[in-house]
Amino acid sequence: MDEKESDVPEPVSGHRLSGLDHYQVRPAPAPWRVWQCGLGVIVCILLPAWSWLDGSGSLAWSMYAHSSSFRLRIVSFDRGGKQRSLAPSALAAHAEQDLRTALGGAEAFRHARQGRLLQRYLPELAQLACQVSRAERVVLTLEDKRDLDEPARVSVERRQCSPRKQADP
Amino acid sequence: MSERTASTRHLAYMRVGIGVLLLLRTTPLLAPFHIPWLRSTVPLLGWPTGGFSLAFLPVWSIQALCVLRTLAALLFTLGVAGRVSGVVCGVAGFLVALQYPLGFFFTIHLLYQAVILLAFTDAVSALALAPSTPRRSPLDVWLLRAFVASIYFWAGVYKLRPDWLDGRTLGLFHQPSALSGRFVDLLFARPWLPALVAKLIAALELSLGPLLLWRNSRRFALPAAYALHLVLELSAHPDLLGWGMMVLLLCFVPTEMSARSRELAKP
Repeated sequence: MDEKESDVPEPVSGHRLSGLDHYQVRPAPAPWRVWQCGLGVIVCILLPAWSWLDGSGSLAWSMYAHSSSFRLRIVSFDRGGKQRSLAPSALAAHAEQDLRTALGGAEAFRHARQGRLLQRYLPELAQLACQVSRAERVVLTLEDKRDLDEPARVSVERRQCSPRKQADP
Repeated sequence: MSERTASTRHLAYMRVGIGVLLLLRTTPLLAPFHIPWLRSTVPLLGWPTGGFSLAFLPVWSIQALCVLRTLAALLFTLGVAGRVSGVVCGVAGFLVALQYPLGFFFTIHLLYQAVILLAFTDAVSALALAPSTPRRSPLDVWLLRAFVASIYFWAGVYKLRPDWLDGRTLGLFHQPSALSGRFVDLLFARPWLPALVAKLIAALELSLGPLLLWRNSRRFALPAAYALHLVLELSAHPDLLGWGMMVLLLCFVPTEMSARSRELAKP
């Protein structure tokens, strides 16, 4: 079969679609190859390297090989200053699937890699803790171990709950 | 069949395979089988449930993106406007995934990237209901090959840590929801075995990329790669990632006749 002819696309039905028989098939133009090269560099090098440099390796194909763990402790205080512990699992019940999975069982150290990201979203979590606990203020303490040998990094988020937030369901 | 046609056919098989996997992973098609990691696909993967969310897009737009991603994936698999549908599917998929930063997982990352990459090749010009115009770029197959090789490379590099190489991290995965089964129990029966296997896995992943890219070693590297993913599928049940990799490995299946074979084929 002539190569040029074979490059004219055929639909799976075996009948060429009208109009396709007549176009000229030319080698890929240079801009197209530049696009392909750029895409390859982004996907194969830049994205993984970027996530590697930020310390997470989250886009660097680190599946089934991480040893990270984290623990989240939440303490709420009512108007009288009375202190109560709030389990992250209680927050999970009010959250979307991704947060539900991350927070479920997080009262004890669990082997999961979301600790680093939870650190970034601690203010949002504090807001959720305010809504759920209806407390006057909350304190969130996240302990994140990046691997088995590193000591836990501790992040603390303190939040004064606004009256409106307390009224939210 | 010319070499180019054969290579385009392989790319087209990959398009169909990746498209089918994407549809299976993002829609409730497999819901009747009650697979634990597919529970979140009802009605579609990433569909908002109304709970507290870290999303930066409004609920209606996330729903629209889920529908758009599914339609685009279907068109991409069938080969209708493959370049546009592939890119739209990948971009919409990533936008949905970004709404759930704590729910990121590698299978979906692999599938979305593969869809976008395949849309930039002649994979959309064969085995298609409405084939796209072929661009005949010599980089088509190499784009996919580089992608697969980079996955092995990064996976191997990540394992060059003391707590992986001494087998302790492997031990963390020895539980029913991750590494389980008779074969795995045997692995943990001897204290020195996990460390040895951990080192072997790291070495295998680091070497697979170059061995697959080099034509002379491909003939044994390709079966080794397939064997690795089959063993992982049997012992670790890693979502659909292994199946995705096995589809992508098709880009290494030889299509062209070697010079010696041509000589032998001459009358």
